[in-house]
Amino acid sequence: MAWFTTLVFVACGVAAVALWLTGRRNALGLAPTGQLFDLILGERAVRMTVLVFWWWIGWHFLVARTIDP
Amino acid sequence: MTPELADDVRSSRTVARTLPWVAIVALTAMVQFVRAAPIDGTVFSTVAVALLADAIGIVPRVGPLAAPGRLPALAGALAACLLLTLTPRHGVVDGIVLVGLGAAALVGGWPGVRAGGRERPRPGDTAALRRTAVLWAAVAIVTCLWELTSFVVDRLLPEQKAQHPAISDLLDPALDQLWFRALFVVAWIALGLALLSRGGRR
Repeated sequence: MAWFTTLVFVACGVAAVALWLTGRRNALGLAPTGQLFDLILGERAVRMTVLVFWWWIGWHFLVARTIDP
Repeated sequence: MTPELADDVRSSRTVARTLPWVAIVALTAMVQFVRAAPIDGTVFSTVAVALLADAIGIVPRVGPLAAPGRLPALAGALAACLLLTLTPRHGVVDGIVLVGLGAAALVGGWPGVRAGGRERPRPGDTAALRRTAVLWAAVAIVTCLWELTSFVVDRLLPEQKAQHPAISDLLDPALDQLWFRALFVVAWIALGLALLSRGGRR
């Protein structure tokens, strides 16, 4: 079961990279991810939510207790 | 419509658009308190309260900031990368760097940056943007729900934890290796710079 759990996380990561690359080439009717972020991050609530999650990833993995006891 | 009524309508729309994001940040704060991470919980709670206060109009308006020059930003990013990679993980230096980066990102990100030379999306791009947004949202939701499942399994069935590892369980051992930590830090800093440069007001 652990392998399946890992596989789902890896699949999500691969999907994110594929979306980013496909959007960059404007293929499959997708827009560049940067253009999407320009649009949604214009809204303060979205921008601050995304930024605090970004910061927390760094904090969680580099400073705080990463694995709960 | 009178100007006062127009303001009221605009204000209620802002609150309605903000509430789902406040809910996401507040729920995350709650999860952090449950996992006994009070600093993390406090940061998320503060952002949730600030967003709510802003939506109901009790936070003074601040104009967009001028983006820092490319050279100072890159120099700061390089210094942060070196410190976070080469000093001990979970150490004091990493803590100081993360507090500094967090303050800079959250304070600098609050007003947003001035619009650069980027083009507005053309009307024909709207459908493509919508499709892209739906797919990104799907990836984010699946990742978060899968991670939440690991969290719940860990809390309710701790003996099953090894069968349902969280992202933290998978990445933690790798981050103790210098090459992987360097890769992680560079990707994380690059993402932060990219996020801070986006969303300019037009």
